[in-house]
Amino acid sequence: MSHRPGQQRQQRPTAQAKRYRAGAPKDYVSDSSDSSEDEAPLQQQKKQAASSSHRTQPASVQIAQKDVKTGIQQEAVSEQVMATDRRMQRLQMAQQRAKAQRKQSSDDEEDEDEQDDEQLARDRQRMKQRALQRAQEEEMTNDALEESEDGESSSEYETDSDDSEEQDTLRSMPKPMFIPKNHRATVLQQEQQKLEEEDREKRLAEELESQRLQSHQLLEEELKKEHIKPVDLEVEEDVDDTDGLDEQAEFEAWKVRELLRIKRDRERRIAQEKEQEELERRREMPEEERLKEDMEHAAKTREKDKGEFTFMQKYYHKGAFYQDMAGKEEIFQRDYSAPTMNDVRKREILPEIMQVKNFGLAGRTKYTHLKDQDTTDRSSPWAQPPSKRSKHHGFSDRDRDRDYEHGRERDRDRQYERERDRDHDRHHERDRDHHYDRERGRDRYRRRD
Amino acid sequence: MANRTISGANWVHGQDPQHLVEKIIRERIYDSIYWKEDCFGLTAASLMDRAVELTCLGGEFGNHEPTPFLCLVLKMLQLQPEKDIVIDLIKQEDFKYLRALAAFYLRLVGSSKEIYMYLEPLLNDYRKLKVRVGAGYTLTYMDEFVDNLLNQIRVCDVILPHLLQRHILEDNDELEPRESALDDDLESDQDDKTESSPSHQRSDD
Repeated sequence: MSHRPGQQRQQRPTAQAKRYRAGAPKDYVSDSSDSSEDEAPLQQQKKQAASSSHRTQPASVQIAQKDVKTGIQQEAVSEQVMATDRRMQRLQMAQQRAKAQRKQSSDDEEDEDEQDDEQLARDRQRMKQRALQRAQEEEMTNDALEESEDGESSSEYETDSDDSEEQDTLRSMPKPMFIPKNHRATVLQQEQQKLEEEDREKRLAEELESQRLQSHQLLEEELKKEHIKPVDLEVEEDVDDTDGLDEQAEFEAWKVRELLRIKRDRERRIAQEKEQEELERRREMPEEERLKEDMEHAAKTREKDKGEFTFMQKYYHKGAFYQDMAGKEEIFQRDYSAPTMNDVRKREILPEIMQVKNFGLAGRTKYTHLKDQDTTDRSSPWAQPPSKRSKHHGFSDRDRDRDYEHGRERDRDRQYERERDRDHDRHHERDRDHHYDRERGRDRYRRRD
Repeated sequence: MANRTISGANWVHGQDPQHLVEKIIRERIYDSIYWKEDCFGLTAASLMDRAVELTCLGGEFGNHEPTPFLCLVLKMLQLQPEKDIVIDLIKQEDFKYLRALAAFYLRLVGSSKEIYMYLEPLLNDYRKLKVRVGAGYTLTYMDEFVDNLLNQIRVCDVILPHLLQRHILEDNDELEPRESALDDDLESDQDDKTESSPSHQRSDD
């Protein structure tokens, strides 16, 4: 219930419910008051005076006279409703109070301008008295209205009491100035917000537009690119496949190619025919001739050039691939059996340990060559070739004669032995097992019982 | 789905016609852009339109990228056009790359007799052909190309099916021995030089 100017004071409603009010209690005296004891009797006197004077006034609620154009339909309120409706009663009360206060405060307003401490104290006193009066009056009206009221009045009473407090605080505040709509800060803020929103929207629209334009441009570029065929940076121009540039030369070139082809075909045919002939011939030959031819052919193939390897030279395998190129290219015609830089030329001057292949490398083996691995004991009877003499055991003249017949063979055997020894001697000193006693550990694990 | 041989296609040399091209190369062709863009939904007729636009031969070039020629070969294997159409394409002389394409296709799917019969006339065609190799191009001729088809094992990165030797067919009386256009010239030269020696140009039966 705002403090409305131009309203008359109304009579307060008769009965009020007893409720807890946040306002000042009956005998409440605040701490800020200077003389609390002195005020109490004074206040009581004033209350009594006020209550006696207020009771006599008629109950009538002043309703706003102005024609305020609202959307709500305004109905005329009947007198009966006025009397019984509690809200109306409260409104009357509030208006009467406000009137009374106005009368009282009209004097005070002058004082407020020059606010000395004493005047402030006096003002405070007066305010307290009025509050006490009002509390008393409200009590009385509460008693009157107790029966007829429900429980929803507390808030409004509170507002009433708040109102009373508000009205006091209002006086201490600066006088409220009416600010026309144009100058109101809140309205200005709203308008500013509206403007900002509009700006934002405009900006958004502009951005969308620009994006659209950009996408359009990109699309254009893409289409252009697609239309323009990619420029071949390759050597396409160098190789020209247009015909008819030089008929004669082309024809001549073709002629050459064709002749080569014919030649090749002819050679192939001749080779085939020869093979056929050979086949026919062999089929006609008797068995022995065929065999003889085969043996000759085998002997010939065995005569292949093995390559001249020095003693203990590292073997190099030619490789199984590129056989078709083997006859054609120069690089395949080279002699790959010649010793390389790694191969030692004079192995004998090296110490015996170093007279091996792969010396010093991890792949080094003690193996030297096959003959070196031969451990046959030439002196044993097994190793000797079976002489014709020992073939026939026993002693008979017939054998003696026979032996004499084959004297030449005996010489041959001897020669064979000599040759054999030569081989044997050549590598004997290199026999690594020379100092190895094979018999040494033979009986080691035999049980010596 | 788009890479399957059409239903009802005849099997060539005992296998799916598309399998004449090796698996790896076939996969590369399927992944190539030319195949995906231009070879999609082709028919025998529209394939010829594409073939007419060819500008070079070749198998794979650069970093294993198939040429349009090879893609169209695979497409023909997939579509399996009629033999008559293929022979007509070989006989036509307007578009040399189309001719080469048809010749290549016939070499892949035809029987030995057909191959000799229809490809040997092409040995007289000496037009230039561009071949895409490695980083650039080289030049070859139609007769050289056909000669390679008849004699080499691998042309344009495709392993050619086995071709019977000519003399076998000649022995079986299926083919006449080859008569080159220059045979007459050669004969005349030979006769002039050595009249007594037996002329080897005449083939023996």
